[in-house]
Amino acid sequence: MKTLDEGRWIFGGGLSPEWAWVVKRRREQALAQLAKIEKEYKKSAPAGVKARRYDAGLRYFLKTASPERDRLAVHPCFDYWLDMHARHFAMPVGEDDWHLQFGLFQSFPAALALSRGDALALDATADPDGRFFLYGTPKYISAQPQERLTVRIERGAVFSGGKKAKLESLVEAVPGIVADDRGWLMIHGVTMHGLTTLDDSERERFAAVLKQAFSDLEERDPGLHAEMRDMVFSLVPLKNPVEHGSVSSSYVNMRGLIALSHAEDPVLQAETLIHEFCHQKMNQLLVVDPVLLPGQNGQVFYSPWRADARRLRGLMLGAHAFLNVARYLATSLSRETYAENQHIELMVNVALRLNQVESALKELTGYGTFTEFGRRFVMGMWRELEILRHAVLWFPPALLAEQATVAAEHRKKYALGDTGYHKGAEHIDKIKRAAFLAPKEDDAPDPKKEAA
Amino acid sequence: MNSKERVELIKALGACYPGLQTGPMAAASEAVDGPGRWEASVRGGELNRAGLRFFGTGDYPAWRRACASAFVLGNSGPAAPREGFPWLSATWDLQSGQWSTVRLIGEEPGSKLKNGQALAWDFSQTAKIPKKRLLRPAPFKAGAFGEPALDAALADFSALCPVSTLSLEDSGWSLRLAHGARWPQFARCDVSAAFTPQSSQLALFLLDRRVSELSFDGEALWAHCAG
Repeated sequence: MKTLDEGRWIFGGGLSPEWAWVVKRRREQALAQLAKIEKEYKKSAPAGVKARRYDAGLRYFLKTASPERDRLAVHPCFDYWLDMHARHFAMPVGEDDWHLQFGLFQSFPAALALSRGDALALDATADPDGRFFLYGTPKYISAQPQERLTVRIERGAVFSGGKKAKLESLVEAVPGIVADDRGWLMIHGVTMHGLTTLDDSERERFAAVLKQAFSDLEERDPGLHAEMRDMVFSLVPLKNPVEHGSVSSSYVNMRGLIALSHAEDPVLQAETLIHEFCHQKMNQLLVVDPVLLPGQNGQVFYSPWRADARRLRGLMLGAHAFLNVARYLATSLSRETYAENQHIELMVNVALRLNQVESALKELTGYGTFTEFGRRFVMGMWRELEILRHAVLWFPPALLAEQATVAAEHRKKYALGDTGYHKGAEHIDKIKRAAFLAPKEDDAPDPKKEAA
Repeated sequence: MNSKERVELIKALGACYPGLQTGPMAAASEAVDGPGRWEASVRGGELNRAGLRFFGTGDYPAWRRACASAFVLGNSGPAAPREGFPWLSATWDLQSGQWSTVRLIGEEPGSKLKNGQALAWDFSQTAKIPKKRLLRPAPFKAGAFGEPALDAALADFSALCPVSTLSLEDSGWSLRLAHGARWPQFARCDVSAAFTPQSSQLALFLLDRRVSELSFDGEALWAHCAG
């Protein structure tokens, strides 16, 4: 077991050998899982499924060891395909499910053959929305929903049903990262917040603001930017039903996908990208170290960001993400000139985040049991938080005090006293307290003494 | 938990659940009081039952007088059990204001018990005579249940809060912890999921007490808490 450097995981550490090692471990796991699926396919697939050449794609993908194959093995759609197989094929499935599952897989060998210039013939299935994607590229073919396709890749061209296919394309925010509102394996698992379909100009605008956000990130946090460019493949647009701020999500079974609503503000988009990317990065790190020892999923803790109880893991992910966001915004404030309102908003944001991170770290250290790396990781976050407190020394003291009060008010409302426990208002506030917990009469302030 | 803490616990239960009858529970448990210690037992899921356990030598005739007449075991009751077992383990129905189960643990003349074993007499409101069982706790080993999900969950739990012994019974089991896990730390564990909806409520009267044993009675999980 390699000893991990906690510092490079707390903030962006760039494409270091350690980063590459973790990606390699993830890839090895994914390919091992695929090899197992291929064996199971040979053994158990119904005859009608075996009659199609799905095994050709599986075999080609497993045998073609190359940098292109390695990239595809850590693609979020590959993640999701494996996850979908694990969930669905754990129970009996119909023949159509086999065709869909293994027909969709052909996207990956097809994309691999296209990028390598290899010749490959395979049978595929269009997705339920009527598209066959070459995941890892922005290209796709339109077809009928779940249409059985015969696909041939030859000399860098794609043929479907014997004819040269018309390839359509998604927009890339930056090279290698697509704005994707239609890839079925990309959007099927996006369940938090509503998905939205953009028209051409909206898609261009969505991608353009994100391009600016990436450009800012490259300049202000190159380490994080490099990691993000390596890990993220797609940005899925979400509806923003409240028409202000933003909504976003990311998923442990689609590492490399960030779903977010459109905003015209590149700072806000960068903040969202950092937040969700940090969750993705931690989810990837879990391949080699769980950070928190397993078995601690009791959902009882106060969350400084929410009104409901959260798990320790949620607090850890939140502290990590907001620490990164606060540092990025503090850096942006020190380097850029913003309009007065935005300047104040950003300071408020940073000041509040620092207090929230402190609260989450307090609970993590008070209640959690960590791996050896996990202990260093959490201690490292405490250290970085303290250092960030120095970075905001120039903020107006009244603003800092105000945000400390906002955080304290939240805690007062949702935490059980000064503990790290969540206070369920439906229980706690409706019952008479135990006598020995209620304030004694002697402790109550004496109005006469107060007046004096 | 000494007898003062037992009184405090019963008061806290009463205060946390206005309208629930804890007076008879207090009276009956007072009758048992003697040299020894008390543990409080809380039920996972619906908080409709609580329990008390007494480790020591109890005054059986006094207990018998204070309890419902259904709970009868001769005139003298069992002798005190060996180290590690409570003499009395009883659960109280907080709605009806009655004992719902009573277990007495000990030895009887002529019984040939091996080291670490004890006899238990289980009383219920419906049965006329108690059911006698042999308790055979064994050192806890991962994989003891042969059910992958349960074994994995208990292995994780034991890594966080080391488990010393496991007792298997007809419909349930019991895990004795090596050191006891404080309630606030116990409630973070996966195995405490049944307590999660009420965990902050329970924290108000369990405070930082230690969970010394986790058991399953065939219906619900119970956490037994020492002072």
